[in-house]
Amino acid sequence: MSVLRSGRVRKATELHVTGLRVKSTTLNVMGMALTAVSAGMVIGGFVELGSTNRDTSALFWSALVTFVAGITLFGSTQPGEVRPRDVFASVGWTWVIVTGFGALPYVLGGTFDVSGIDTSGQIVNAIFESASGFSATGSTALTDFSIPGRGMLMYRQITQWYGGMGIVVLAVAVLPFLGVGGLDLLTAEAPGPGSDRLTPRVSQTAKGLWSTYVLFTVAVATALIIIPGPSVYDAIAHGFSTVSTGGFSPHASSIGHFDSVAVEIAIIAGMLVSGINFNLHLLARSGTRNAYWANSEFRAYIAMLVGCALLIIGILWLDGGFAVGESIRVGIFNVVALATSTGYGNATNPGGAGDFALWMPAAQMILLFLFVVGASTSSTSGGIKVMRLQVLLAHSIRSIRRSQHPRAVIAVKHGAVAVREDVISRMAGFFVVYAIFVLSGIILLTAVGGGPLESISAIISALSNQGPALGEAGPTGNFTEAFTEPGRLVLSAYMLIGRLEFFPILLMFAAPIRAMRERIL
Amino acid sequence: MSRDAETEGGLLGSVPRDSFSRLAISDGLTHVGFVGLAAAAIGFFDNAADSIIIATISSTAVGVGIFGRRRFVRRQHTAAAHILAGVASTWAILVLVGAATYLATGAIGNVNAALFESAAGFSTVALTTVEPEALSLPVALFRGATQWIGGLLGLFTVVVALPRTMKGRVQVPKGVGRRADRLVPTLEIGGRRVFRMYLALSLACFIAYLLAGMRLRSAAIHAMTTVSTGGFTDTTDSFLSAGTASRSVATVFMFISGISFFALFWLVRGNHRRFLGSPELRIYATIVVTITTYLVLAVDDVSVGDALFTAVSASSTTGLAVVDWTLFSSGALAVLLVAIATGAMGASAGSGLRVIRAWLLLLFAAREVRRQLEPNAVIGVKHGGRSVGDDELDDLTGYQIAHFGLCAIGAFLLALAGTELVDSLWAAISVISTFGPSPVTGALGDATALGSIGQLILIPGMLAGRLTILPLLHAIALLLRAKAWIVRESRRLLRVGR
Repeated sequence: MSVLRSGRVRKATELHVTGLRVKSTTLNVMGMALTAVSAGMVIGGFVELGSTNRDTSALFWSALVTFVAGITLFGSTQPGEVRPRDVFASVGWTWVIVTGFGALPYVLGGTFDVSGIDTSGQIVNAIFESASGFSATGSTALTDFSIPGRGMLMYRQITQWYGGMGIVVLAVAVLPFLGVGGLDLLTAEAPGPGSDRLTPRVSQTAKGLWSTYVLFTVAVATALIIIPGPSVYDAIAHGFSTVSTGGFSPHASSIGHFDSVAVEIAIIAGMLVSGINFNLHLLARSGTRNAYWANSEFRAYIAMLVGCALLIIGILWLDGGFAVGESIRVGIFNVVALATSTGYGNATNPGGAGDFALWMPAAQMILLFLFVVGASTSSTSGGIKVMRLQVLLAHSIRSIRRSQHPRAVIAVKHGAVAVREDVISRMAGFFVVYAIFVLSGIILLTAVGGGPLESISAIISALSNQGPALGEAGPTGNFTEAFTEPGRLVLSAYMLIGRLEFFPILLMFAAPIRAMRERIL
Repeated sequence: MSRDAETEGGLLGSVPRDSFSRLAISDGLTHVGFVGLAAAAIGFFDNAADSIIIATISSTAVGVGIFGRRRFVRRQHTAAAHILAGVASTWAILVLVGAATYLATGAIGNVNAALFESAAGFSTVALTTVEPEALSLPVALFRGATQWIGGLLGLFTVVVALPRTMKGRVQVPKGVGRRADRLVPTLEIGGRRVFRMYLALSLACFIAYLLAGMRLRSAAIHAMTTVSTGGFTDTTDSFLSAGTASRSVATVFMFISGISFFALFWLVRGNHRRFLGSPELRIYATIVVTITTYLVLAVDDVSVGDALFTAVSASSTTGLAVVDWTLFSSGALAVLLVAIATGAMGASAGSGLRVIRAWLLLLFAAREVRRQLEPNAVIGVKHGGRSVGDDELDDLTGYQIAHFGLCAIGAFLLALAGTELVDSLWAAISVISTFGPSPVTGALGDATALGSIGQLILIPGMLAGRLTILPLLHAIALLLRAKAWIVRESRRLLRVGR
């Protein structure tokens, strides 16, 4: 259970105390994260330099600006107190600032400089693409994939890789002096109800998570290199966005570009593994036997995937007139891609079999369900998560049973374990907040000109860090044509809100407001 | 009553049997029978044949109802499960009686459509499969009366029956303020009071429609369908061609029908301050004003009056229309859908999630956000000067998830039947809120657009919408239990056979 929940006020271990340094955990973590992001820009710059060489200067200049900002913040601050409000401020503001700096290469490189889009539109698109990258969403505003160079596209993939595991988790791994407060930061950023203390030191847990993440990335990239079709560049690029369940691809037709069953199988395996709780991976690595199957959420995750895949295959085959083999191929790929919130598409062209925006309404309804649920807690996936769904369903059934037997004492169980009432309450609170955000988002998006189908699916897609939506924003469409500029800004905000599961973004103003109030009073 | 006496009574027929469900069915049949007889009498000179058929069916219903009332008694302390079973079975029997009437009079030719029309009537859903203007007077009056009875059944369920047996549970609207259940000191007195208030409201609406220049037939039908928040009309264009005065009357009475009967009871008792101070009433009014303002600003060529009518119709879940709102912009449609899903006040004739529950959910969400900052703080949720217990909030969220789940299942089944995704979602939410019309059926609620399968899919949703989700879930549980019993008995018989 998270230490954050205990509410104890702690002070971080102060190893770098000097008289001139400002005490601020938020600025310190932010500085570290910006420095890490600049490294991604440098990698993109070198790839660009060795290939298309169109966006080289944009990437290097962006890297320099980001690095200077990062190192200045990091060097001039030291971690202060790590109270709940500081945790939310650190995580929330870090993601907002990183998204802003992450948009620099796109703006400087003119990635969105196409006819019909003015400067403000380009900036909005750059922010949208950056938010989509760092939140591992995968929605794109790119209308012409020939404009950005290979390095820029690789940088775009790297942003997802950072976002998948979390830039703050990375900071915690690198900043052991954050001490016990690091777990709070890790929990606030990790998808799902909470991160467990799996190792004695939090930084060790963070390092374990990142090393598992790197291992999977290498495995997927290697598999794609071995399989005929993708180049080394493609293999690495898709390795980044598969394990992060981001879903960006350097190709407009995503995985459909390769039109290869072998590639799709490798990608499906990568997505499946990334949709599993990373704590289970850590347990398995540490030698725990039966780590996966003993977990109730894992079993439900697999059951959900199999059930939805069978339903969709049946609908496509019986109702959609698809061939059996085609139904199985597109059905399984899209179910896994959307349940893990990766959002890859395997349509070879607009209107192809994999273009789920053109599927039957019932199949789309199942996909929308997967948009909402997502995969396991503490995985790189988005959505409300399978475990929450299990607990909330059990909670709902209990309420109905209690309406028949008002005095009965009925426990809500997850697996064999009774779930504590405060945990149920928190999960129910999360669900209600989720519903409120979905409703308000749909109203906002439709108010600024979004179509009903696009707005409903895009809001859920953004909150679940899914990527594609339905209608014009489907797997072969793009968000520039489907939404107006204000609409894309709303979606950018929703991607970050969804990635951090509401609370850090909602509460990131709490610490600055408290500090300001204390200073004034 | 002891079990032996119960059995004895059942066998000999001399002692009344103890069964809430059968008593509820008897009451329902008596009510619908008398209303049907009234419709037949009024419409006799318009269409004698239809009147005779309706009179025959209604007389039978009254006869069975009176027989049942003599034969069965209510337990002193009826369990919640029995009440849920009672209201669900009453609704189902009434739907069958209604469908039989439509089929016997020839007003509707096929069984599916007749069942749907009857279910829409008794659920106060403004969806129809018939051309209202083509109906004879007795059938049109009977059709309007189904909604009136449906509204009454809904009120009995949520105002009288459930709060008495399920104290402390938020699924049941308890009204607002302290000692809110004074309206219902006992089931019998509460039932009488609610019936009288409902009847008085209907008569007032009828007179107001007459004064506004409506024909006698239309005034009677519209009074029954406005006060029950049903939304059936006797014209094919709802209120599109109605005069300003009639529209104003409809707006006022739809709004009143969306108010909690507990609050209305305070008004009847002259406690104006308490009535006006009701927080739920204020929120309900604020929702109506906000939606009206949004529609006026966001939709071209919509007058304030039309916007107000549409907003009240959506918030009270009535379903009457003065404009074709399905042609509104996506933003306006989204706002209307949220209003429909939220619905009217708790313990009112309207349905939907209910304002009080939506408000409590917002307060609950705000508390959970605050708890993130102060995990150990004890933060209560207060409404109307009273603290809402954690148990109630638990049940509220659990109920809400079931409500969402039901909407999702309904929408999925509609999509499976071929309805487009957004249309399916709209139709499912609209029907479960007992509003009815949606973009797929048009503002006038033409249910033929849903197809036969779509209509059948929506019938259980209507039950859930009208009588809260609990009776439906209870009915499903009973069905599952019945299935298990059938399996068990079949196995036993097979064993005996071997």
